[in-house]
Amino acid sequence: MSAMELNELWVELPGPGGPRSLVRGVSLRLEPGQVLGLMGLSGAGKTLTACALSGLLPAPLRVAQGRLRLDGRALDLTRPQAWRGVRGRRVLLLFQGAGAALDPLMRVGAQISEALRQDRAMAAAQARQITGQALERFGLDSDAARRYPHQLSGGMRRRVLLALAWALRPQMLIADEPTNGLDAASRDEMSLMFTQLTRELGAGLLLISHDLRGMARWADHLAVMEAGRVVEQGRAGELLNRPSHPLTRSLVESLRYLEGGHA
Amino acid sequence: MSTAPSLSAWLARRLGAVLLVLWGVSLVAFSLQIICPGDPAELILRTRYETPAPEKVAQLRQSMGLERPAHEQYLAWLGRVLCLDLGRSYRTGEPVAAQIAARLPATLELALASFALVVVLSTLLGLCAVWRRGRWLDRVLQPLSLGLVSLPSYWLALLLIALFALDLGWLPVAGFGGPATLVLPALTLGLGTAAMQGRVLRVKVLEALGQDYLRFAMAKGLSPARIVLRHLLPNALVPMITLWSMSLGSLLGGVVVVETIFAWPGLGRLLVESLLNRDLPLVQGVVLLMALAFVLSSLIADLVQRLLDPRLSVEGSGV
Amino acid sequence: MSERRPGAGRVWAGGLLLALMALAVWAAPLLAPQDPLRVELGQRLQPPSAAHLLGTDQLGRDQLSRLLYGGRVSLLAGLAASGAALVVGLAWGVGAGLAGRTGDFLLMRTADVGLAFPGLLLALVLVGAWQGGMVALVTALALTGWAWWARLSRGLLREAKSREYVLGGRALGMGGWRLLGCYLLPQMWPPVAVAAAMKTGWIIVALSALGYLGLGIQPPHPEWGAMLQQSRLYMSRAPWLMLAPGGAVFLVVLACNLIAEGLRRRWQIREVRWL
Repeated sequence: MSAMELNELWVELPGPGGPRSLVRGVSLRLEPGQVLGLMGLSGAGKTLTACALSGLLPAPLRVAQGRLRLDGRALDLTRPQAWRGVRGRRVLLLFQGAGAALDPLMRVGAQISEALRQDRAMAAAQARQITGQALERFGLDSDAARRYPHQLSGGMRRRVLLALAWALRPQMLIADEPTNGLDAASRDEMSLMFTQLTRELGAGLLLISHDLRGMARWADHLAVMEAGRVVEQGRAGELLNRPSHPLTRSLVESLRYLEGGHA
Repeated sequence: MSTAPSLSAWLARRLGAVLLVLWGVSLVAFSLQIICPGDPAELILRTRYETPAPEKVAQLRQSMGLERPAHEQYLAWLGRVLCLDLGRSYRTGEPVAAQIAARLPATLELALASFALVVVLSTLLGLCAVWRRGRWLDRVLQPLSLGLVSLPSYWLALLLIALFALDLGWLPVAGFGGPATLVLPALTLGLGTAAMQGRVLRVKVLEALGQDYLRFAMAKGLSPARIVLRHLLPNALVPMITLWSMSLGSLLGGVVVVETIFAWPGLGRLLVESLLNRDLPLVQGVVLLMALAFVLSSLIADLVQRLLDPRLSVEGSGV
Repeated sequence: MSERRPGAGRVWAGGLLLALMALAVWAAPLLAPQDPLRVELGQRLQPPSAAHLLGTDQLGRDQLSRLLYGGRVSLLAGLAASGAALVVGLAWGVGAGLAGRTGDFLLMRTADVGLAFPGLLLALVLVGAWQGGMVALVTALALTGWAWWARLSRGLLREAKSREYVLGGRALGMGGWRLLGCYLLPQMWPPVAVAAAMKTGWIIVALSALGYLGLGIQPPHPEWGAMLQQSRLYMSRAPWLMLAPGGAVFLVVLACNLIAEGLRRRWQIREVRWL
């Protein structure tokens, strides 16, 4: 698999005084099997970038400009029709709070199977089998598939999402704050699972998180966003040791503070 | 840890509550005798055009057991009711149960027709408003449905009669017979409720549309058809089905007026006639039956909701 | 409508409409062109004209005057019944919400009995049995409505009790009455206000429905429902007769519902769920 490239993404919000750009010319590059961490303060446009990368921007926001290169093909992000057949198959977005995004009226296993069978000629039995394997792979027992979402704890629901990603095998996986609200140990565990999944699938993971420690530990590349722009981008090690942009520097400093000590 | 009780335990508890309520209803129905001014024996004699001479009244009172203390009378009455003996009409002397049974089918026909109308029309109104949300159809439907909800049924009936029966002559003015006679009564009874349910459906569908699981279904790559059929509709319909089940009971409330206007030979009209004739046993019988139907329909509504929503019936440990 | 406060338009529209109607019926002695009870057989079933703005009925009585005087009774009785049901039901429900398990159980089962009668049934039967005047009518309607209020207020109270700031208040050692007055009750006013508007409209419709069935306020005093019932008999000859009384009820209910809708939007309350 080749790298995934996002070129010049512009997201704007139409308004009475003319459209306002909330994402300005963001370009990112994702290597297969690698984790790209997207950092920045709240409101920098990280989530909007993630949504735009799956054609799931909430109205009235729209993509003004942007192209995504996937597998040698270029997708024009301004056209919503481009996403049919791509979403769920080549790109999977796990948006913020997705653990609560399971349909309460449908069994968990069925929610994975239906995604598997969409647009793929797959028999129900086979889909069930893959679903079972996926759930087991992430530590959920064999009858988890028959449970309803409200019967699972928050942590278990997040693993269901991991299982879904494993089953669907997308080329690009986007995870927006997957470890939000977890304690430190669970965060590490979840980040590890995401990283392992990425390597196993050979997919590219775009990870958005406020967990600086996690990012420092698991990300291969880092990109820092501020006010809709990417202000710095590069290999994780380099960025953390020699930050050039003031925002990156302050982020790195708070990281040192967290890790180092309270002197 | 939230544990939902098993179905049989839940059902047992609800049935217990239902029985308690029905007992209370029986008390109310019986006490009508007490609050009704006038002597029942005198009443009977007068309605049969016999002069209520004191000896006759006393004799009748004795035979009716009206000299016994109130609670004894109640227990005797309750015992008869539970054996489906609802007494005899003051006016005609015919058994109440038989008269009620004779009039029941007409009311059922009307209630079912209205119910069908409510379900179909509210779905159309609600889905239309959502499909065309923000555009002119939705903008028009909103105030229109508010107007329909505010329309008193008896006025609506008269307007419909004036328009369809008198002006256009398409439908009969009143009476009971073929399907043509069913149209206006069912429309009158169901239109207000349909408008109200349509508004609720619109809210529910809009709520469901904004839910995260829909977004997630899109992110998974499901086709729009599948999303609507397997995710949107069930989540919007579950609360709707509960509401529809409850509306069946409340349609009973409007039946009285509608049957009177359209001279529909059902229980509602029987009730009004009996009240005007001061024919107490008939009144009691109809009241008992209507209350029973209403309470049972609420129970069924709860049961249906419980069966449809796994969050209510299946034990959950999640947050 | 873009207002700074959502729903304000509806509340104003409904409120204005209701105020106008209330004013009109209150000023009936000034506004009514004739004595509503005056029978003039020579003027039977006249269409609207300069002398009789809304026409005359089958006894030659002026419709407009009857409408205005009839409205006095409808609005007054409706408000009284609605108020009584609200006060009694609210107290009942709050009591049940604050009581222990047994108290709550007993109080709410009793309220359930009140709720077991669909729509008009209880009021109909009580009015038919009592055969009293206005007092009986108002009492019967109040008895129909109180149980609904009890169920609603109990639910609201329980919901309010579980909010975090109430727990915080208790942690601070606030006493029961203060908790009730400062935290619990104020939470309840918005949905109660919305429901009160809706229910008042419903009670006025119910009142006129009873009048239509001949069980409400007795003739010859004019009443909107009774006027409608009579207009039924003369529908082919004098179709205008049914427009005024029915329209009056419709406008009152519409005003109430507009106020309820507006308040609901203003305070963003979800549709009231109980029945």
